[in-house]
This record gives sequence, structure tokens and C-alpha cells, in this order.
Amino acid sequence: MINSAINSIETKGLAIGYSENDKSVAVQSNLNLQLKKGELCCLIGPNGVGKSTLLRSISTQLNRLEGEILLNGIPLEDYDNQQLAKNLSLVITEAVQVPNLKVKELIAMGRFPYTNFWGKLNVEDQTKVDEAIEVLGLETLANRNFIELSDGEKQKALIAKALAQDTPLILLDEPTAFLDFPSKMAILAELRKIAHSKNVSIVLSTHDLELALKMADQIWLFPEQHEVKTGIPEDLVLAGAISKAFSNEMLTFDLKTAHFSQRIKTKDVLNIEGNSLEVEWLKRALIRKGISGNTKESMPLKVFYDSAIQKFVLQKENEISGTFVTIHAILTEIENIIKT
Amino acid sequence: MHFCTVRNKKQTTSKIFFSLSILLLILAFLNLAIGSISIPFAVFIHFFDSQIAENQIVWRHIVLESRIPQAVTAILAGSSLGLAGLQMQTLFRNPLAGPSILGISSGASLGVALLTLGSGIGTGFIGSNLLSEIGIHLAAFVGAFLVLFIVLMAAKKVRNNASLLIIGIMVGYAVSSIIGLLNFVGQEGAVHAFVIWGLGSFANVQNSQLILFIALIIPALVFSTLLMKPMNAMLLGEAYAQNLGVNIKRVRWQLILLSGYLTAIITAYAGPIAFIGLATPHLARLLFRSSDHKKLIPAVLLLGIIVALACNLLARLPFFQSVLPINVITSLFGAPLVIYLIVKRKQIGF
Repeated sequence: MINSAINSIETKGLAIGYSENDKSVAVQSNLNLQLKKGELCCLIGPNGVGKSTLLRSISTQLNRLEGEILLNGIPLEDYDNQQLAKNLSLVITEAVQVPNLKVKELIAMGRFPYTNFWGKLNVEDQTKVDEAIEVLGLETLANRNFIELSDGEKQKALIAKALAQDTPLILLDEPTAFLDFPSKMAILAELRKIAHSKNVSIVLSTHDLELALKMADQIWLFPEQHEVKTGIPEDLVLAGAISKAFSNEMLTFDLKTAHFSQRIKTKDVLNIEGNSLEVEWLKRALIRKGISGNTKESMPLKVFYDSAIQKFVLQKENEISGTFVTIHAILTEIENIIKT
Repeated sequence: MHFCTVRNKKQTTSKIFFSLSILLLILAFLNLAIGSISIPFAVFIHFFDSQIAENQIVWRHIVLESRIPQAVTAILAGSSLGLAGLQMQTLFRNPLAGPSILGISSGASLGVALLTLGSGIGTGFIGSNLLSEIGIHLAAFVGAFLVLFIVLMAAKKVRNNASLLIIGIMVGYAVSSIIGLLNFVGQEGAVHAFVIWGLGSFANVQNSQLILFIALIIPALVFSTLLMKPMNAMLLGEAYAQNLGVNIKRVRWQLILLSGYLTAIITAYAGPIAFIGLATPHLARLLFRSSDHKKLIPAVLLLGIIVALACNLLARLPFFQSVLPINVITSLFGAPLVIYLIVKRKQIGF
């Protein structure tokens, strides 16, 4: 029934926002977005640009203001509750706080649209549940209470629920919020694997820009006060769309490394020689203290790393004034010299 | 190993259900046998014999005319209020919700207050004739349904459940203040009568009214059990429930209607019964360690009946000299029990 050439999700002239008493406030308008089957799409942008609003509009929790949303090429309003539940699954930020709910039971709730009146799981339902548990690696947690899990494990369990729902599209609102870095990475890697291996389209909103640029097949960029941009991450970076959207007086986006760094005014007092690992990390520490780590001959202070004695060497007017084992020690000394 | 635990859990669940059913039967029998007059066991053995002794006729009369309608009222009230409480706690995802949270029982109280305090017939209504008793039932009925109607209208307008909860509580406050005013201006005897009514009783339903009472309650209980699947989905919150294909608007409407209806009928027949509706769902969750409504719905029905029958029994123990009001017993004995269970198990929810 679903033609593979058709976009999994597509919007035409879509306006989203909030309406009350015939007055409507559009958060975004004239959105023309597309996502192919089996792709992972990251929705990025600062707070308040309408990322969640878009996800809530697609999942029909919110009425759209204008335009069309096509799911598998069919307008959203042509789906009834049950059909929609079989075509679109959801992971949201709202906390699930049900006591005595086993992880397995939560994941099995994903089968609701398929089960009979009493909600009894048949063989196929059970297979889908087991499969979702396996894909997310939740075997050891399946019989634990959901509310006793860590944030990262909870997120995985909710994703497994969405997966058990067996829909061609999964929407996730900030699935990496509140997670530590390795967990963020693991969740996104898991989602990309699901998208590619199961041919499922995934749209997720996130604030983890660097991760999104690394992992996404497609980026929907919602910048503040600029037009929405879409494309693959690399094209958006090269076109300057990313740095334009996120750079400000505090942050600067490095096009080469795709990293953000703080803009800090630095003092030129040091001449650093070498490019060993130790020197590179010293430079990072210096920048944090507001001291530039450039190689300039004319400076009064000179620093290098002597790998023979495995120590940093500090020279003042061409005389060795000290050797240091740790970056902390040499940093303290340099700061003292600058102060006096 | 993994399957062992599953089977063990299933066995435990059926064991608990079996034990509860036995307990229910014992309590039901004790409700018939024990009271201000104790009835010997032999009477029940020869209950349907045509040839019985003179004193046995009296005993049989007590059982038939007083104890059976009381026990049936307790059974209907316990099951209905337990279920109504569960419905409210699931809908509002709030462990403090109960059948009276939307002001339905306050509405019933207002109806009765208007009748007893406003009209002046109240002074004579304790132990009075059937007609004024039916009048009380009707007044409570009308008051409760008036509030239910207001809440249902609000539910249509307001999408947010928290707002609806606040509206329900506000309606309750407004109604209570009118009752306060009526109490303030009412005659002493009428006020006393109204206070007594407010303490609840399972003894106000006659055999002749029992059929109608049962007929009003059973369909709502049956229909409620049909909602177990959407109620499970509602546990995750409205957004997830909707995403799983549940028509949340309809289910919300049905839950408010059913819970409000059950509460209204019970309050009309037995007065505002405290505690049972709020506590029974917690007892069920603690006992079965589950949030699955496939277990919780039968569990609250059984436990509600058990709690109601136990309270009715306690209220009539010869030790107390007279029959105590039911609300005194429910809260006095029930509250410490629930506190103990919660502290012991350390987990509570909706």
C-alpha cells in the first residue's frame, strides 16, 4: 500500500502554532519539509522556535493552523485514530510515572493498536515486543519496574515501546535531554541503526547540535528569525546555515571541527613551541584562562614540553625559570608572572 | 528461570483473588449472623425449612428484612465506590483522587440539605416512614446529578484534566458553602438529622427498593469493566494514550460519567461514604503490585466489597452498645491500615 518512492512525511505550506478564541499565533509558517523512508532526521534550533510544536502538530495533539501534512503521501486527516496509531509512534518528554509497571508491560503497550478488545497479546504481538526488547538491548531490564530505571534506560524503554508499535514513522521530542554524553551517543546510534535497518523514518528534536550533525541523515534547521533550512548536515554546515543559526557574541562555530567554542578575548604574552599532545592540552587550558597560545617569537615568556624529562619548561627572557610536571602547576606559575 | 517467575506471579495473582473471594463470603455470612442480636448458625442451616420454631421466625425476619438489604447495600456501595475511585485516579493520574473529588457527593449533600434543612421535614426523618426516606434518596439523587451535569459540561469545554479537577473541587467548595449556610440557619433537630445522614449508613435501603438499586448499579459496573484497555493506556498520559489509538475525549467523558453516576447512586442510597473509594484502589495496587486494570478492576470490586462488609460488621459489633455510623468506622479503622501498608511497601501511585 505504501509506495516506497513517496516521502514518509511531507508538509506543504504548513503553519503551526497555537490558537485560542479564533486568534492564532503562528510559531512557524510556510513549512515545506520532506523526509524519505528509512532516514534519521534531527530537528534542531534554539528554544522556542517550534520544534515541539511541529512534532505535536504532526502527531495531531495540536491542530495545525494552515497547510497540509502528508503521512506516506496521504493527508493526515484521512487517518482515523486506529490507523494513525499504526503509522506514527511517539516518544515525548512528559514523564511516565506509573508504579508497578514492568518494562516489558510498557513495551507491550505499543501493541495496543493491534490487540483485541481485552488487549491480549497474540504470537505476532509477543514477537514484536521481544524484538523491540532485543533491538534496544533491554533483556536484563525487561522484568524491572519502569520507574526504577535510570533516565537513559527509561528513554530506551520508551523507544522500544515506539518500536513495538511497528510504525513507518517515529517522532521523538528531545530523546537525549537529561542524559550523560555516552548515553546520548548510544541513543542516537541506536535510532540511526533502527532507521536504516528497519526502514523506519525517525524525526527527533534535540539540542545536541554536534551530535545531530554527526548522526543525522537529514537536518531540519529552525533558526531564530531566519528561514527554516533543510538538507544533509554537511551541506548546511558548508552553506554557513549552522554557524548563522547558532553563533552569537558568546559562541563561535568552527567549520572545520564542527565544534562550538567560547569567544574569549585573549592576551598575547606567551610563545608556545611544539605541537605534541601535551602542548595542545596546555593551549586549551591557557585559552580558558584568557591567554592565547600562539607561537610568536617576540613574547617575553616561552614554553615548551621536554619529552626527555617529561616536563613543561618555562623560560623567562631566555632563561629557564622552572620545570613543571602538570599543566596545573605551569598554569599557576604563568598566571602569577602575568599578575606581577 | 524467567518463565518460572512469570508463572509464579500468575499463580500468586490467582491465589490472592481466591483468598479474597473466600474472605468476601465469610464476611458476607458474618454480616448476616452478627449484630445487636446474634443469630445462631443453626438458623441458617434450617433457613428455608417450612416448619420452624417461633423464635426462629423472628431471627429469619431480622435476616430477611434488615441484614440482607444492609449487606447488599454494603456490597453495591463497596464495589461501586472502589471502582469509581479507581476511575478518577486513573483519569487524573492522581493518587489523591476519589469518587467525591468532582463534587458529586457534595451535590447529593446539597440536595438532602435543601430537603431536610430547607423544608423543615428533617426533624422527623430519622427512623421515619418510607416516603420521607425515598424523598431523601431522591433529593440526594437530584443534587448529585446536577453537579455531575455541571462537571460534564465543563469537561466538554476544558481540555486540560488538571483544570477540570480544579473545577470539580471548586464546585464542591461552592456547594459545601451553601450547605454550611443551610446548617447555620437550620433548626437544631434538622441539623442533627442532616449530620447523621452525612455520616453514611447502609441501613437506609428497604427490600422493596433493592431491585431498583441493583438495576441502577449493575449496568454501570458492567460497562466500566469494558474500559480496562483504554484505562491502561491512560496511565501513560493523554499524549501517549492518543498516540496508541485511544479516543481520549470519549474515554474521559465515559470515565467521568460512569464514576459520577456510580457515586451519585450510592450517595443517594447510603449517604456520602468516606474513605472506601479513595483507599480501595491503593489497597488493590499494594496487594497485586500491578497497575494493570485487567487485575485492578476485579481487585477493586472485591476489595471494595470486603472493606464495606468489614466496616458494616465493625459498626454493629455488640462491643459498641449501639450501631455506629459507617463513616466513623471506615476512616477510623481504614486510615491507619492504609498508612501502615504504604509505609511498609513504600510505593504509592495512581
